Amino acid sequence: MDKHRTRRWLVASIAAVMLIPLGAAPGLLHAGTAPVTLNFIAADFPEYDAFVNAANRIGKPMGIQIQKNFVNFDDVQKKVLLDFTARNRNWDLVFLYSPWTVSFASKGVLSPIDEFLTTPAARTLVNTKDFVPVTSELTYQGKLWSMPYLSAPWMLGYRKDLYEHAGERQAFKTKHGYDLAPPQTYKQLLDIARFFTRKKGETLAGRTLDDDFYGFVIANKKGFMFNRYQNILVAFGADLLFNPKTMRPTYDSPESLAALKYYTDLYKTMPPGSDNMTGGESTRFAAQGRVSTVLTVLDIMYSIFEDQKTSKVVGKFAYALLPTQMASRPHAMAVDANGIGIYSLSPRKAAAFRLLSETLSTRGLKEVIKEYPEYPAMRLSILNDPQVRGAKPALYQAMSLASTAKMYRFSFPQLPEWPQLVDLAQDAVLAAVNGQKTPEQALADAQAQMVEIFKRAGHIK
Amino acid sequence: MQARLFARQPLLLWAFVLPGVVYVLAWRIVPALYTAFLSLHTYNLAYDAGPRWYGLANYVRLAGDAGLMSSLRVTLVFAASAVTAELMLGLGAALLFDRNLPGRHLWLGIFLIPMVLPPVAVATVWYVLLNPFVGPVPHLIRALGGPEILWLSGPGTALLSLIVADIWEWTPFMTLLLLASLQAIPRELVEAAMVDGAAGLRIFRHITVPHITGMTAVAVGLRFMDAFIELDKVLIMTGGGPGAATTFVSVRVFKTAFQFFTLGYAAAIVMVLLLVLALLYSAYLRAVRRASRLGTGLTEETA
Repeated sequence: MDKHRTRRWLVASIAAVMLIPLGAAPGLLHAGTAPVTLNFIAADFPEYDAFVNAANRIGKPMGIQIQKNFVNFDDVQKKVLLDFTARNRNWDLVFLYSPWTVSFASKGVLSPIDEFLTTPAARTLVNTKDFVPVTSELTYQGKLWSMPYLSAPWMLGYRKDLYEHAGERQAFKTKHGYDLAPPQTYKQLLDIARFFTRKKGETLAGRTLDDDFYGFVIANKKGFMFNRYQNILVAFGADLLFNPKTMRPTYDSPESLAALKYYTDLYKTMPPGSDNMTGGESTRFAAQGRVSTVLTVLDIMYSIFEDQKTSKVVGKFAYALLPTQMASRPHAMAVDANGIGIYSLSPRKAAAFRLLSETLSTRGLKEVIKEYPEYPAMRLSILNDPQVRGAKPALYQAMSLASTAKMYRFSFPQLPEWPQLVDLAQDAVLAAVNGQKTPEQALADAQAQMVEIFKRAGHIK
Repeated sequence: MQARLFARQPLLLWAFVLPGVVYVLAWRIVPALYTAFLSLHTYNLAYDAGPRWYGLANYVRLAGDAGLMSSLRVTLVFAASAVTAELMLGLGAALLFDRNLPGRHLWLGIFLIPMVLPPVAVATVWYVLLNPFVGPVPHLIRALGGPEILWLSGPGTALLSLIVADIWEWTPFMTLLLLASLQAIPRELVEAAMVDGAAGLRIFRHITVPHITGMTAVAVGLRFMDAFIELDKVLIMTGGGPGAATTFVSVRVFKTAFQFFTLGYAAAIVMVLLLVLALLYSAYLRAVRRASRLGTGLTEETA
C-alpha cells in the first residue's frame, strides 16, 4: 500500500464515520409530528409510578408522554447534580426533595415554576393558593421551585385490636395505673412498647404466640434512621444538631442525651435486625402481625397495612400523632415534602410545564388517586373533596388530624454540611443502642467531629 | 518488516495506535490528573459553582481523619481474610477440577456461576439468605437449636457476612486462574518425578507450587486490589453499618463524594489510596519474585 492509497483509505474511513449520524436524519425530519417524550428522573416511590401513569393518560391527547427513570432515593440528587454539572440536557422533569431546594435553586438546576405562570390560564390551572401550607418547603427566595406533589406526616401506627382488647387493657392498667390508649407522651410509648414485647409461647390478646412479638419498630438502617429519630430528638427539647443562632453543634446537650438514653431503652422493644431495616421493610414486618406500634410516614403505613394481598393486619391499624415530651413542643414532627421540578437545561420546558400543570391540577390529581388510592395529595381541593375522603376514611381522618392539630413542626436546615452531620449523628445513635459506646461517649465523639466540621466550614472559630 | 512498513507510512502507524492512546488518555490519564487537581481544591457539588483552590488542606485533614484510618483497618481485614480464604478454597477446587472427574465441565460451569453474576445480584442473594426474618440461614440455625445471630446488623457478624459473600463470589475466579496454571504443568515432569519415586505432597511441593506461584501472585494481587474497590455488596447488604463496622475505604470515598458532595476531600482520599496501593503492590510483587526464585532456583532474569 503506497502513501497515497493509505491517505485515501484514512480519509474514506473518517468520512464514513462522519456520515453515520446522518442515518438518523429521517427520524429527525419526523420529529415535529412525533409525540414529545419527557424524561423524568425520580425516586422509585409508588406515588411517582402513579404520577407517570396518570400523566401519560392525560398527555396522550396533547402528544406528550413521560419516560420514567426511577432510581434509589439517595441517588436522585447525586445523579441530577452530576448531569447538571456536565451540562447534560438529558432530563425534563426532576424529582425534588425539600432539603435539596436551596442547592438545586442556587445552582440553577431547576427553572422556577413562577417562570411559567405567565398567562391567566396557567395561573388558574396551577392555582398556588390551593396548595397545602407545607408547600413552603419547596420555595426559596420567594419562588416555587417544583410543583408540590407528596408530603405525608410522620405518625404512629398502632394495633387497634390489641390496644382495645379487654384482657390487654386490664393487664396494662394493673401494671401501669393508667388506661391503654394511643400514647400521648414518649414515656407512655415506652410503657406500651415494653408491655407488648413478648416471647414466643407467651400469650397475646388471648392467643399463644408462635413467634416473638415486638412492642415497637422503626427503620434503623443508615440513611433511614435519622429521619425518624430526629422527631424524638427535637421532641426532647434538643436542637436539630446545632444552634442556628450561634452556629455551634449542640449534639452533646443534656436534652440530646436524654433523647438518646430514651431511644436506647425503646430500642430494646424493637425486633433484632431493625438496624438493617428500611422504611418499607420495617412497615412490612409490622404488616406480618408481629409489632404493636410503628413510627413512619402515614401513606407508607396505610398502603402496606391495607394491602389485601400481603398484609396480615388489614383493618387492624389505626393512626395517632407522634407523642409529646415537652409541652412547648407538642407532637414535634419534621416537615418535608417533595415535588416535581422542570430541569433548567431541558429542551422541552414548555411541554414539561404543560403536562406537569395538567396532571397536578385538581382534575389531574384525581387521575393519580385512581392509580394509587393512598396518595396524599398536596391540594386542599383534593383533601377536602368528600368523594375522595369517602373512599379512604381512615387515611383522611389521620391526615386531617395531622394537618389540624397543634403541633411543633420543624424543617431541615439548608446547610452544605448537613449530610455529614446526619451521618455522624446516626452513627452515634447506633453505637449507643448497640452498646458499642455509652450514650455520653457516643454523643461526645460525634460532637467533637461536628465541631471540626463547623470550624472547617468557617461557621465557628 | 513491520517496523519498515510503519516507518514508510507513519499515518498507518497512528491509525493503529491512536485508539489505544485516546483510550488511555481519556479514561485513565485525564481522570487521574483531574482527581489530583480536585484534591487541591474545595468543591461542594451541591452548593459551589466550581472548585476553589484549597492547597494541601485536604491532605492535612486526611492525616488526622480517624474515620478514614478505621476504614482502612476494616478494608485490610476484609481484604486479607477474604483473599486468603479464596486462595485456599480456590486452590483446593482447582486441584479437584484438574483431575478427570466424571462431568467435570458441567460441574466447573456450575461452580463458576457466582463469578459471572452482577455484584448487585450477589449482594441481594446474600441479603435475603441472611435476613433474620425471611432468610434460610438464620431459619436453619434456629431450627437446629442455635442462637439468634444478627448476620447483617451485628458489628462483628456484618463484616463476616460480607467476607462470606465475597468468598462465594470470587473463589471461582481464583479457581479458574489456578486451574489454567495447573493444566500448563508438563505432564512429563510429573511422570518423571513419579518414576523417581516422588508422590503426593512432594510433587505438590516441588513441582506444582513453583509452577503456579506466578499465577497465584497475580490472582492474589488482583483480588486484593479489587477488595479495595468493593462497594455494591456493602451498600446493599449493610449500608456500611452498623455504625462504621463495614464502612470500607470505598464506601467512605463514595459517601464523601456523593452523599456529602465534598469532591475535593474525596479526591484527596483517592490519591492517597492510589499511592498506598501502588506501593503495597510493588512491594508484594518484589516479595513474590524473590520467593519464586528461592523456590525454583531461577535467576532474577528468568523468573
